[in-house]
Amino acid sequence: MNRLHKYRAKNTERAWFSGFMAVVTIALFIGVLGGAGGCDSSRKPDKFSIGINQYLQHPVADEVAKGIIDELVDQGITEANGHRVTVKNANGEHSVAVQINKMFVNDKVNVIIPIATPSAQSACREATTIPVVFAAITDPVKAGIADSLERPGKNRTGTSNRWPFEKQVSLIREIVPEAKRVGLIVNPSEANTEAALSYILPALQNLGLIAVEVPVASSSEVLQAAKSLVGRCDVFFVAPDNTLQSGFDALIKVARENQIPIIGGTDNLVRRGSLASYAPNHYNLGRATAKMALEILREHKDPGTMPVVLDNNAPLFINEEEAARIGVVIPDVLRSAAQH
Amino acid sequence: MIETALKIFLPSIELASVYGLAVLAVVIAFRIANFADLTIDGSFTLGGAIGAVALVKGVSPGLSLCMGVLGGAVAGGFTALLHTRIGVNRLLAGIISMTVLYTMNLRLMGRSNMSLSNVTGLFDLLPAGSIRVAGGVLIVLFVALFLYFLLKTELGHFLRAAGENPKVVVRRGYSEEALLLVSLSLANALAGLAGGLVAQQQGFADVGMGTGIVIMSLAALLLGEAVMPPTNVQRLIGAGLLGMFLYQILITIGLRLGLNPWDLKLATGALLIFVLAAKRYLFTHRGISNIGSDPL
Repeated sequence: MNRLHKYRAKNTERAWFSGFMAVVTIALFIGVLGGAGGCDSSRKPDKFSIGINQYLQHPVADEVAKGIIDELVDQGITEANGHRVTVKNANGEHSVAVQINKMFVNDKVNVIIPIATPSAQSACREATTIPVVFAAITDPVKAGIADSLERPGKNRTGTSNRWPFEKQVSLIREIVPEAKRVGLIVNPSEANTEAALSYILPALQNLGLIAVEVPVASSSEVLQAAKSLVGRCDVFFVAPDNTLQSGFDALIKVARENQIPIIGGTDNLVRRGSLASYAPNHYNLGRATAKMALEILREHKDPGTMPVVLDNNAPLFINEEEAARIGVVIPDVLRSAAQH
Repeated sequence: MIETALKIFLPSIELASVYGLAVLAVVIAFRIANFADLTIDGSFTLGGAIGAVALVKGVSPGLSLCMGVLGGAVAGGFTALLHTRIGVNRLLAGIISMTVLYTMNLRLMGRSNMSLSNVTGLFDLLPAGSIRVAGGVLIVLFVALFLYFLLKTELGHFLRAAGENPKVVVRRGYSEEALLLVSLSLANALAGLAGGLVAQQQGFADVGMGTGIVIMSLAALLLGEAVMPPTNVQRLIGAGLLGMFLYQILITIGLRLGLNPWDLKLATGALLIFVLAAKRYLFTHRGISNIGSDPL
């Protein structure tokens, strides 16, 4: 009897809980439908809806996103003017990036701007008619989102952040002429790194330099990798590797302790501790991406025929303070050419 | 209203169907075999990698999926052997396999990201839209049905018994080790299938595609189990699939409500704590003990 009573009490609690869950679900459901109703309500033809899908939180990706948004604002694409700009971050998760792209397609945005390769690949997959203007993709052709850089084809075009590797590598000769062995810390699982190495390694070879590669799988391994290169290399070269960039401070630490110069990287990395580099400006690339998107929207250009934009005039950045710390003299030619 | 609802929730169903196979893998490993198998992260990617390479080399979509399934099964078997033959701790065995698979996947593809945009996958054969979604749902329902009937056979009963109380199995003359080998191979074969389908559905395989699959699937499973307490096998399988569907819907809702996905992780965590607390204080369900009783 007592047990039965308890069982009933349990059942009541359970029913109460299920009821609560049901109410919450229904409330959310209605909220979402209401929200959705608001966002695909008919829009005037000169009012644009733009979806930005950022794959992950990362200093470079953030800079690109900032460039895109600033350009949009400068060109008058703001909520106040009746336009709609939706920025979503997939937090590095595949399925979320796909969900975001599917949502953009469902909401019939006028253009999708994906930042980083997986978001771009999924955007090109989901959007068959909506233009896709990818931002700062290192190798769009290999990623399968462009037929060629000159003519991406279909509904897609965008910008590429391929670094000017040949020019970057030439800095090794100019700043550390006696260097022979070049240490590279790379995460072999990153698509952009791999693409980059196919340019960096031949460039090193052309200058008679020997590459010493050390693989890392996560940013926490960078310190160990850098230490393992001490005595095995005369200079570090920075490949466009997200893992290395996340653990860049560890590399700086080792470089300072052992007086080994670091060459290459982005302007941000030069500010942090690389001595010199020619670097595409990701903020400007973001702006260029937004410009292309607006050309498609306003001038009805066909994205498939718009060539992929590269940052050809990548400026030179130097870090004299760091050079002094490592005991390296930066030639006057470079110093006068550099941006400050 | 219904049309809008469909439009919003169709993507959730589409994703839930393929990722549902990963949940089924977790169900087999964590619930049936009672083995916290982290290999699934790796075998999911392995399935995608093998499938992608095969597709690019001109193998038919169906056959390339089968190759991925086989690869997953071998990976699962490897973990089982690590545990039973060398005596490696369960978690560690999974971690070792996962680590080894990372390199294998990279070597297999020859790069970290392989585009399938120029080849025809299984989903490209179906017209886009609801028919394509239905295709995914049919596949997962078919696999779920297969699992259900498999677990109802004598072998299935022993697989469950091996997870629950190995002594019983040994006394009946079955080898506990062989049964674990079967369970883990089955679980990872399912993960391989899921990975292959995800690659074909999304048009590319990436070496990072499997990262966090076990965690995501577990979260989905717990969610499903909270809504539908798994007192028997069919309910357990249903709970897994329902859970993944709810999980994807939650992400859709989160995105729609303007939550940024990085806040979504906190929301998922909070939800799981809530669900687990509810399970602890509200439900004490009877039934198969290693189904639903153990929070992990």
